[in-house]
Amino acid sequence: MLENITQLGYRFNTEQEAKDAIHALNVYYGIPVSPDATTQTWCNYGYNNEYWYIVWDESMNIILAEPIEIIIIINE
Amino acid sequence: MNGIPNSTWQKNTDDAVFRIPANNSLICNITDKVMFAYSLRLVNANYNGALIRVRRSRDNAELDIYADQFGKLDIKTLQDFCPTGNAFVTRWYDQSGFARNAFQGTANSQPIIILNGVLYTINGVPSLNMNSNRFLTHTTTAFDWSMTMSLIAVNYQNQSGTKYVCQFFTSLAGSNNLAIFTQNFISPTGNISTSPSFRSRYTVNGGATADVQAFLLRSNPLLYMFYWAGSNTSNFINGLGNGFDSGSGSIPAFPSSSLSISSNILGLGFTSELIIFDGQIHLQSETYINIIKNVGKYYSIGLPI
Repeated sequence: MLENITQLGYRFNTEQEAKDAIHALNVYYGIPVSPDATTQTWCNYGYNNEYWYIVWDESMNIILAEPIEIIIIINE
Repeated sequence: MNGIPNSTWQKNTDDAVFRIPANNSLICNITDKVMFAYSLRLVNANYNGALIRVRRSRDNAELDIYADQFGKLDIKTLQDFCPTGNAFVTRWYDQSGFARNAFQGTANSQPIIILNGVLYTINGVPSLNMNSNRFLTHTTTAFDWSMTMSLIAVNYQNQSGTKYVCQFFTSLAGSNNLAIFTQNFISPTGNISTSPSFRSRYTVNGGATADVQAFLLRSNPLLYMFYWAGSNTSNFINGLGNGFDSGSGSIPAFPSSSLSISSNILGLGFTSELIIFDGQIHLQSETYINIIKNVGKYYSIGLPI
């Protein structure tokens, strides 16, 4: 069953914008520390059939500023 | 994803692969076959690998953490590695002998084990904070839904709502996943603040969902013992058959893609242990009683037998 959930996050018009935002976070936090490290990215992005998004956590504020309410779709 | 091996979920048919520790103080006298064994303590005497790999927030360096001489998580090494800041679990190593390790390569989805220099514990033993969409995944290539499997999980739910203990993702995805989850809220003092229920759900290949309601043990954290009987569409929790609300038809065998511990959206508060067996654990069987005694004692869970 698909379910819409409202969460804080960041909204992007294109996939590339979302990738660029994650790249900025990865650079800031030094991820990955090496090519074979388990941790390869700071976060991931999603798509809700209308726009691309990143779900917020407070570590992102310093790079992506204040979040807004976004809609994400999950399979429940 | 980088570093995640593929494997086939197989039954462990070699008794020598999984053996209880010599002093029998850490794990129950398991005679059933173990398919997955994730724990923050040593549960297999034949396993000598690390229990977890952690990443510290200070510099993102990662380190494997082993069991100490008593079979418990080597907290000293962990805290020496991360005396301040946060530590996250990037790998939860499988002790079953199959190396079905669970991974999380995305930083803000990794379970937390140390927050601001303080180790997370539940009832005095280490636990992983799975809140805020934190989970680990084991990627696999095949899974036989006709199997009968049993599951033991030590969890503590500190948030209301539906929370996933674990989830088996199928290649068909979406509603064809099998999710084992709770639907109630347990207060920090252990009081059940809403009507108690424990529900597993799967969807028969594109058809109706099948749900199970069951009682909760009067313990905190909760210990779940659950099994499903594959194509027999029969599920039991803590040894009691509770029946389906709407289970009809059989579960077809189809390939699966992964096992998720907790969930990307509906993560369960804290998880200390998840062991999945091949086969059914019968109520009041020797195995059942040993599990209840051992797990109950280690995690200070008052359990009715």
